[in-house]
Amino acid sequence: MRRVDAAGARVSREAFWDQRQFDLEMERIFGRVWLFAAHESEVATPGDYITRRVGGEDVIVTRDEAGECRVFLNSCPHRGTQLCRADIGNTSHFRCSYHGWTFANSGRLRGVPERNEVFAADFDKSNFNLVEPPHVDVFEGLIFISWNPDAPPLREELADLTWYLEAFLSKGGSLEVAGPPARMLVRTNWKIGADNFCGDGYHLATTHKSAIDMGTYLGTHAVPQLRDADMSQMRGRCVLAGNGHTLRVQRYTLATDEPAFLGFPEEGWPQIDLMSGLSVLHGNLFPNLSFIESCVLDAGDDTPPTAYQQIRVWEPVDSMHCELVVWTLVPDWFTDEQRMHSQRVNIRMIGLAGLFDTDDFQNWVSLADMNRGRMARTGDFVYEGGVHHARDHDIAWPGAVYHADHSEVNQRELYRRWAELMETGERSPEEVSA
Amino acid sequence: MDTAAVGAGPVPGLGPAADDATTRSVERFLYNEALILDRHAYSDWIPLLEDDFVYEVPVTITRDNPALPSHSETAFLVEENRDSLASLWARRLEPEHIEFAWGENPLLRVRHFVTNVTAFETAKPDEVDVRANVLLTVVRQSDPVVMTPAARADRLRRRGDGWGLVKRTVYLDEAVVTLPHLRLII
Repeated sequence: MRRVDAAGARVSREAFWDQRQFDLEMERIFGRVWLFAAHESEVATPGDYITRRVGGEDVIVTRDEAGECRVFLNSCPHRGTQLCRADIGNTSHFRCSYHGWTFANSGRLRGVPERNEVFAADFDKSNFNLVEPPHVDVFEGLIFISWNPDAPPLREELADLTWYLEAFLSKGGSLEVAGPPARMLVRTNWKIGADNFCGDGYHLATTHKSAIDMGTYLGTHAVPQLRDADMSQMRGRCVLAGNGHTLRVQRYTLATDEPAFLGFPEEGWPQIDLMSGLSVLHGNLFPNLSFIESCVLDAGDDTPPTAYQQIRVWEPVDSMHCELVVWTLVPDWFTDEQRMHSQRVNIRMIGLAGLFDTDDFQNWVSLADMNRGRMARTGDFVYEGGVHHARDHDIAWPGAVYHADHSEVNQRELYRRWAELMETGERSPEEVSA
Repeated sequence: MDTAAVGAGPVPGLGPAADDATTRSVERFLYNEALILDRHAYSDWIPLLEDDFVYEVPVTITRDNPALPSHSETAFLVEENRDSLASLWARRLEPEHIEFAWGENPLLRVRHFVTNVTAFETAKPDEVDVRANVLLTVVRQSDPVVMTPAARADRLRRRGDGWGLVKRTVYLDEAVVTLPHLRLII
């Protein structure tokens, strides 16, 4: 089938809602690329573990006794039982509840009950260690895995996004999770979320009119540095960072050239050029890790204007559902009060009860619902926005930077990489019939 | 009434059970509140809140240690107070904002089934702790009903006309939320 047109600006609706395409994605997208599995601070000390589904596979992420982050399938190599039944905990060993096989948190099979009675003399325990992905690597606290033995090194895969991620993730120290993630089953395809976060500045004025009208975002009233900002001249940039990774950076046009990092203590300022005067930065690390940072001007009470950082995964469930997993991040050096404020504005704006997501969900769910019919699925989704926008060659940021605040250039990059992977190794209709 | 008289042992972290008249009056307050919440009538609900009211829903987690609570102490799905609820929740449903409150219009049909209400005395003579179960049912448009069971831990303060809410913590049973959204008072 034709998934994306030659200009890269139209994507077949079947690419989202046809379960056969979803099944292919499991193999060709999630089986091939690097996937976000956990944040290092979720497994801070040896023995800490979390369990979750990553790209359709149930895994245990743990820190072994030597301090290494390890990832295993949460399935006993003997007969497939769930090894670890909790979301979170601490243990040096995992014991299967079926026949009692016991594994060290390095993945090595240690104990087999009645080994000499049940199994022959040549039974070799080393053949039954926990299954690990061939690649595990960490970037700025983010633990990634890949099931593809031929995957490129993580930094190569992240390409130009590394520079932006460093600005997002290192804020005068490390970010850490505020606790376990919030989770919600959302009736939409996982790509809809990635598509929204990867750079859709266009939907803000309509979908989030209520949030903007209430003064939570885009205003000059709350922060001294914004008092003389020119609100008609928001400085928006869309960035293609390689391999399907994209982001959108929107900054206020301030009255002076003095750096201003809104809602964040000066000692943690990163990348002044990128982040000064930031209104919002959001993007998507291909395929399904989204990130967002913004300053909330009004959280509805006396909380001062405060910046927040959040990452979220659109975990694929089937063509019509994904699980949204949301981590609130805070700098590890924040005082209790700073932490409370940052966490508070984060969940009040962006999350399961957040002012923004509550309105986004309505769109995302309606996309699944209104594309069930045969006729509805015949057409395309249209991503022609910004085809006329020019590259910004004056800017010193890495990647392809577009002089555009509202554009669909980032989605075109998302689906370019998606289609490239979906079509790699696929036989043409002529080949199939031959 | 003494807790032993109704066959219930002391509940860890809670004071002795309140007397029947107090419990009855708390129940009446919660049923009245449920009527208001089922109508989305924030303008009637906000006055039930004390100035220091806090509403929290912690993240539900499955732990490996039965001695530990199955809700996070540091991560929340919802964290609001009287001011933020009045200005960013209630205001959304007012005529000048409802048209663009896409997620809340059409209004979800919600019902609060509040049961197992038990009131406990606290160190403050004018305040009680209340434990209750809530079954929240939600219907969006023509979707099937979504049912979300939860435990409520409330702190109530006596007022001339009855009670005011000081704190509400809602403990969801489900670790993965299935509601259309969580911008709801449970």
